[in-house]
Amino acid sequence: MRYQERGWRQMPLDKEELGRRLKHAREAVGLSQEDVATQLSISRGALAQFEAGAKAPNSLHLVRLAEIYRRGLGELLAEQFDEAARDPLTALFRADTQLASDRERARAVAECVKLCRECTNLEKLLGVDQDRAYDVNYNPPPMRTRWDAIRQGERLAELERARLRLGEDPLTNLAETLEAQGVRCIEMSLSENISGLFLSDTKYGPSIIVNEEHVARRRVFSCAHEYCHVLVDRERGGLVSRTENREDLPEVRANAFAAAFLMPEAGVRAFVRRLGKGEQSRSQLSAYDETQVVEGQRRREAHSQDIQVYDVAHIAHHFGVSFETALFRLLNLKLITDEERVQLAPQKESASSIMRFLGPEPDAKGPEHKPFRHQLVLLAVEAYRREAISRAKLKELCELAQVLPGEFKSLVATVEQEPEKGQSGRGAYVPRA
Amino acid sequence: MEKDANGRLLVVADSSFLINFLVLDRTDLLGRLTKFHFHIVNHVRAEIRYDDQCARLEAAVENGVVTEIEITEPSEILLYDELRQFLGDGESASLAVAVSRRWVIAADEKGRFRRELFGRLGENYLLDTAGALVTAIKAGVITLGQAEALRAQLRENRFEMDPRPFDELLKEG
Repeated sequence: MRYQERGWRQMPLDKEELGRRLKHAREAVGLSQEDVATQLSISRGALAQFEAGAKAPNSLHLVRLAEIYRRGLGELLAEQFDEAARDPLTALFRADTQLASDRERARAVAECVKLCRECTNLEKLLGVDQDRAYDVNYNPPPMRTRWDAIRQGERLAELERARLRLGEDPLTNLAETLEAQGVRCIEMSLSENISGLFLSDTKYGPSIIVNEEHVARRRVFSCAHEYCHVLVDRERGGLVSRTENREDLPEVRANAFAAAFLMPEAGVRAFVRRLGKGEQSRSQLSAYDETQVVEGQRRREAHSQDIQVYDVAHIAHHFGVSFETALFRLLNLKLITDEERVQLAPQKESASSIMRFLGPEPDAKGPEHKPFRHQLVLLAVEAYRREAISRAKLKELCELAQVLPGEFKSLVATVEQEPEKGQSGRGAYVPRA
Repeated sequence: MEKDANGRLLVVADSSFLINFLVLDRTDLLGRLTKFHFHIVNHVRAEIRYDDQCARLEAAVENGVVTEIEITEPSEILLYDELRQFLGDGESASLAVAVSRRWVIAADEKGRFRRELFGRLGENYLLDTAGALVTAIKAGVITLGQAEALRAQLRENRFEMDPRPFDELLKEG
C-alpha cells in the first residue's frame, strides 16, 4: 500500500511540519486550541504558534501533547506520519462520548491503559512477551436475533473453555487465567451504570477494565463479559458495557458467554446431580437383549427434585457468580422453569445469607488487593534487579501503580541488598578533557 | 567533549547528582568548579519536589550556577523517547542531551543508566558526586576534612559513596 493511500505523510521534520502534525492530531481527537492550551497551562496563542510552525514546542510540551492526542511521542516525530492512525483509546472515546466527556474518568481510563502498556514494555525488556502471544479469533457469523446472540455466547464459552482446557470446574481466579492469555485485567472506579470496558490495542494487546465499585461476584462476571468482547469484538477497537446497552446484540452475546464460561453446562449438571436434584420425577430405563426389552422405572417422591433457594445459593457460591446469574443459567439449562425462577428471584436476601454462611466471596480480598498492579510492580522490581530498567524508572512505575513511598523502599531494599554488578570499581568519576 | 566559550566543559546534570548538592545546600560548589559549566534540563527541574530544594535550585539558576535548558531538537526528543522505555524521565532527557551534544553528564545512577551511558559515550563522560568533590578538593574549593563531612551528611540522607577516604580517591582521580 502506498503511503498516500493510507494517509501517511512523509516530510522532513521541521517546525512547520511538526506544527501541521500537531494541528492534525488535535483535530483528530476533536479538541479546540483553547481546550489543549488549558490542559497544558499555556496560552492559546502559544499553542497556535506551535501549530503554525512559528515556534518549536519543547520536549515537555510534546510529551503532554502526545498524551492528550493519544499518540506516541515517536509517532509525532517520525519521518513518516500516519495521519489516519487511531489509538484504541480514541476509538473508545469516540464510540462512547459520555465516558469521553467525563474528564476525570477518561483520564483515569487513560492512566489504566498506560499501566497496561508499561506492563507490556517490561515483559519485552525481560523477554517474556513471546510467551503471551494472543491470536485467537473465532470469527462468528453475524447475529440477527437475541436468540442468535445467546446461542453464540454459550457456544463460544464452550469452545473457549475447551481451548483453555478448563474442564468443568469453577474458575478460581479468572483474572489470572486471562492474564495468562495476554489479556490485561485491571479494576478502577467507573460510573455505576458501567460494568466494564475493553480495549483492543494491536501494539500492546487487549485490556479489560472492570468497575471496582461493584461487588466481587459482579466484577468476575464483568471480567468474563469483557473477555467475550476481546474474543469476538476486537475489530471494534474498544467497547464500554453500560446498563442501558444491555439489549444490544454484542452485549447479549457477551452476557450469555459470561454465564456459560463461569458456569459450564456439564459442571452445573454434575453439581446439581450431587445435590440429588435435576432429575425428572419419573424415570424409565430399558435393557434390550436383541429379542425382548426389560424395563425399569423409578418414581421419586413428589417435589423432591424441586430446586430450592439454598440450592441456587449453593450453586452460585460454588461457581463464584451472583444468585441472579445462577438462576438464569439454571433456566437456560432447563434445570428450572420460568415459573420457578419467578418464585425464587425475590428470595435474594435469603440467598445472600446462605452464601455468607457457605464462606467468603470467591475473591473477597481487601481493597488493597490489586493483582494487576502487584504484577506490574513485581515485574518492574525484577527488571531493575536485572538492570533492564533504572532505579528512577522503577520509582516512576511504582508511583503509577500507586505504591506508597514506604512500600517502595521495602521493595527496593530486597534488590539493593545484592552486590551491584558491572561496577568498574572506580571510586570517583571525573571526566578528562 | 564540548566546551563553552570560556573553555569550560559543558555538563548536563541529572537529578541523582543535583539532589545531593541541594540536600547539602551547597550548590555554590558547582559554581566554584570552574572547569565545568553545569546545565539542567527542564525535565530534571520538574523532578525536584520538596519546597526547600526547589528554592535552592531556583536560587542556583538565578545566580548562574546552573543553566536551565529545554530540548526542542526532534532527534534529541526521539532519543529521549527511546530511553524512556527503561530510564526515568529526567535521566532520559539528560542522557539524550549528553549523547547528542557530546556533553559530560553528572549523575550518580548506576545499573542500567550507567550501562547506557558507557555504551553510548564512554566512562570519560561521567562526573559523579564523589568526582565533583574530588575536583573541588583539587581546585582548593574545599579541604579533605570538609569533603569527609559532606560525605557523612549525604550518608545521613541515605546516599552512599565509595567508602574509601578522599585522600585515596584523590590519587585515583
